[in-house]
Amino acid sequence: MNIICLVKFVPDITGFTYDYHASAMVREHTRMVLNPDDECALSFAFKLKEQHPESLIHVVSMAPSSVVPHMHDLLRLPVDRGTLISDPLFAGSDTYATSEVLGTYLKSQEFDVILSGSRSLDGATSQIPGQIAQMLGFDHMLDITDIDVGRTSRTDAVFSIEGEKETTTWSMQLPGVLSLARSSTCKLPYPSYADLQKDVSDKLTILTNKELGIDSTHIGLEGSLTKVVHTYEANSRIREKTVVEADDEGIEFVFSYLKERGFV
Amino acid sequence: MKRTLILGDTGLPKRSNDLLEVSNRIYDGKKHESWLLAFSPDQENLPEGFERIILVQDEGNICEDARYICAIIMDLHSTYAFDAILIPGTWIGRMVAPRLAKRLQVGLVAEINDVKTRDDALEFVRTAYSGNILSGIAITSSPPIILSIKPGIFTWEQKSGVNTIIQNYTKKLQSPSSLTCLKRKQRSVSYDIRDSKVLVSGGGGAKRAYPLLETLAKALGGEVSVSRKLVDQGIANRTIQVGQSGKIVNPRLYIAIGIDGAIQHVEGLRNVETILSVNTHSDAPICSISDVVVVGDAKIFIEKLLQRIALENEGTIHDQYRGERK
Repeated sequence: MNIICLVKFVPDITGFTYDYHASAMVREHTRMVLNPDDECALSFAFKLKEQHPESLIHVVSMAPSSVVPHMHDLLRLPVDRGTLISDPLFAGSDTYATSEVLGTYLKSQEFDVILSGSRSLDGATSQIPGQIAQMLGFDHMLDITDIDVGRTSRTDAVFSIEGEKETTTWSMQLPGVLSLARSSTCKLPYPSYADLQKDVSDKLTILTNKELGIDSTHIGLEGSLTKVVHTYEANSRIREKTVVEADDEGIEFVFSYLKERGFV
Repeated sequence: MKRTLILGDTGLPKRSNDLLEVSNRIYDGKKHESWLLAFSPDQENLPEGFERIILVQDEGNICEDARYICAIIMDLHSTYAFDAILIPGTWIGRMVAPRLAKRLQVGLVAEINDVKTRDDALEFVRTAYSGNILSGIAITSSPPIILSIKPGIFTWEQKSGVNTIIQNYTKKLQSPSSLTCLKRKQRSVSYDIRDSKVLVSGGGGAKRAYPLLETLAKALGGEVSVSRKLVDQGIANRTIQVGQSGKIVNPRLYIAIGIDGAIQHVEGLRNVETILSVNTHSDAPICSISDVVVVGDAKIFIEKLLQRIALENEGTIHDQYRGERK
């Protein structure tokens, strides 16, 4: 199978910065990690490759060039090739413009399935995979928790979703877009010790808009159809709190508190 | 007159009218029409408050087919030219909204939790950066306005009765989708935490006490929810996860047991009336938004509180018994 895995590196939220004047995230200086849902997608790509050893895994990301070392880390795993779509012209792209860039690139590629995460940790709007599926004219499914690799072939995928009230199992014709949701079973393997320092730069292609040739009015801030106009800090209501211990006295307080309010 | 189309929430059909509040906010209380696109085999479950309900007789699980729903909305839009299309941020809604925006070539603000007006311009607010920041976003493309709405944030209150016209959608469209549902298995969790009045919620510190959460929830007439940590560890299911990547909840009582209160979790608790937290550290972030903080071990707390509740119930039984004897 030819598998394309769409990944995004997201800021490790403990040390983020935000440019309030430009209303934009400052991504250049933040420590980035692989988005957890995308980690699931990649781990399923490896499971598919185990089942279908002839498979090729191609990791694609659109990001500033500072993620090159992270792409290298992924290329030290059983990933066959990587493509980083990176151009200062893409900066400021909203989801519409981003899916325009990724969709244009993916149209030029041959593949059986696109795997992605369902949500990104920083944006979490799940827009890109659906918009790409729309551009390519494919089916798309969100929040997949398991792919039945044994029943998935180049023409059909079988997967399940843990939904609100039921777990559903689905089949979908390929090519198509499958978006994974994080679950406990998704863990990436560690690279072998010998591979830790391996030079993998020949497996990574960096593309700019020169190669993609997208009309400049369709990308970046100009190509965006939404615009961040204000930012606010997310402050939560601070409450008048009563602090008690988990001893008899404290439990009695909690009990009376709940009883007064009709919960017991 | 401005006209809004709202996609029904198939999980909680009755709650579809919460999105009317979004429409009211967009048009600032000015007169406008709100229509609902509903998929329902039974007419009993239809919500109130809409001028018109377009009812699709769902024979082949259309309500789970994002491409089919998009096709229906496109068809309706070509006839009725909606000014705004509002989509609930549910599983299916999150697949419909991006597709629809791409088809209509308009901008989409996803999972909004507020609508503001500044200098006569609309601004849609959503959380960004893992909940650390709220962004006010303007749509620069021409109408319709397409939004997806974070569930559980907006609530609609009926002010005056509206006569609803029910219009059956009888057109049969060809779905381009190849998706087939092969199997359905009922899940053990059959409640929706968005509906719960009392939630007993466990986090990383409640791992050992997890089985007890349900006992306490039952004793308080509520349900169990969790923070992301217990989902990541495979202990609980995502459907009962509270927070930015889970659900926004609005119970009257939220008991946070062993939850640290990362900002993404707290994000899900904006509308909670009373928060009681149990934590070994009194300086955990959750404590600053709590009404009552219990410092101590999760398991000990639950066991002691259950004992106390049992004692009370015993008393009640005795009282009743005495009453009968009299």
